[in-house]
Amino acid sequence: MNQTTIEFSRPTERNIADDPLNDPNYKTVGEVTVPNAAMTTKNVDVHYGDKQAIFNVSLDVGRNEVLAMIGPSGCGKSTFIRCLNRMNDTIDSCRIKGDIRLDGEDIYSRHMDVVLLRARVGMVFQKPNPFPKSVYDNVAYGVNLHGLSGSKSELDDIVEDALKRAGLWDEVSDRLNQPGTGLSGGQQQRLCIARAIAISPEIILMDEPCSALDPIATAKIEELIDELSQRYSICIVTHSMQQAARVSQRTAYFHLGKLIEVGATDIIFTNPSHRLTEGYITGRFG
Amino acid sequence: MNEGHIVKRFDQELEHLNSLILEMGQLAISQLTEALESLANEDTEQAYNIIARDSKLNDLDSQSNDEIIRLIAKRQPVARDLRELIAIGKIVSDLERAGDEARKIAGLTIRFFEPGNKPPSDEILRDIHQLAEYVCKMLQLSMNSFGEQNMKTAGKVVKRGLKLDNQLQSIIRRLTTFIMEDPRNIGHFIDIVLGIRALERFGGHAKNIAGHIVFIQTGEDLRHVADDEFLKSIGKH
Repeated sequence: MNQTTIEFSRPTERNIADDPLNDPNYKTVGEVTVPNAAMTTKNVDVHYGDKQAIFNVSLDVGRNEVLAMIGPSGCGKSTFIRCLNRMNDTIDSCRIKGDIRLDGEDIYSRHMDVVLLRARVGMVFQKPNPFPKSVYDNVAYGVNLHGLSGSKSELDDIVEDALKRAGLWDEVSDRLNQPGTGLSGGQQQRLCIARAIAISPEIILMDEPCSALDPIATAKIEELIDELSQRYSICIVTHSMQQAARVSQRTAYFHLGKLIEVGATDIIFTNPSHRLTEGYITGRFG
Repeated sequence: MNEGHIVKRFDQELEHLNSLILEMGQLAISQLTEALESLANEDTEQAYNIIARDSKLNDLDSQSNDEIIRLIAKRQPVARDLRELIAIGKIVSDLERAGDEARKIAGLTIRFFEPGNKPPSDEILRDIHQLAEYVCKMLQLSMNSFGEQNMKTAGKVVKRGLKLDNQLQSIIRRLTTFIMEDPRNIGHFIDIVLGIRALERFGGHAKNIAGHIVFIQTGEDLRHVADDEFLKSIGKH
């Protein structure tokens, strides 16, 4: 007996994007402000010489939230995060316009002490960069620099507490005097996190903190981010969409220097509003 | 910018999965069409073939599920890709169950026309034929909607679903008068009512599939909303 054959209609080819980026008045999709923000940024433009890298970005960092910034290479996410503790000051050709405030205080004001700012807004980089000093001294360095301890025993307590909060104490407590550079990559990164949190920052910026780490070391950092978010605000730039989905509460999608969309991570990764966000996170362009 | 993934293999895998779904849809519809033929032609041999062929739908169901699990593990889909895979998993279940309902209609052929059994009158069977054609069309539209990823076509399925409810009520009323006129045929009536119930479920699966298409497109879960609200939601997009 022959079976009946039935034909159904099939899809027609579609394009996902015109180029909304040519629009100079592009407005970010989603809510860029949050109540009681730890840091606010408004209308930030960044130029490297003649080249504009960031276009009119406004984005708040909430208290005790993990904010992930994602986007293709060269989209400006690292440039943006480096504006938040004036790391771009070290680049001569870099010009920043706009308004960036930490607890309401203009961080680009002439009165702002940049060293103090970077203590309040700590940073962890892509490659672990411990000082060529002992594990103990790596953590104690910033504490001493800012005069945050009155005695050796107080310093010991701060170092131990920071290493514990960074999830490293059990692994290094018996070798505090050995060089930090002798630790594994994942341990070195957690040492850098301990170094940042030892001086009690309000915000920790993380610029692809796991890109040089294996999956187990990455999982430990992600677990740590989760714990740290109870006390600090964390901004993380990551190329791993899965990592952004796992660790953050809010996600911001950058594209060619513009902040295209920001929203709750749960929504961004299940039903984003902007088709560029959708196209990027589903791997349709990069 | 084209809609395809950078990793072309992912597109090919999704396309393969979609072709499995379309094959299941074709099979479910042809199962019901042929079950009707067997009923009209009093062909019990054809009915047995239809029942045997239901295992093909079960195989495609398992195959599709394996493929979905593999794709989730391998590609870690997000956004629309994730919604599509989750929805396809549900569409597969609906199609498999639609096939089960078609099998029940083939079972009626055997029950009525196996040698030694007393067949019912054409008048009683009339409703089954009309209703089956109607729900077949619903599934056909659902599968078109899936193939095109077209929400408007999904809306047509829901509109047909609204009329289906009215049809069922009038069929039940008509059958009730038959029962009252001649209670000796109560056995046939029960079989017919069960057949009608199977067809109503067949249409229900077609409607579920329409809901899954909307979920793929918009992320909205419309499974538990009233039909008019469903249509209103589609209208918004």
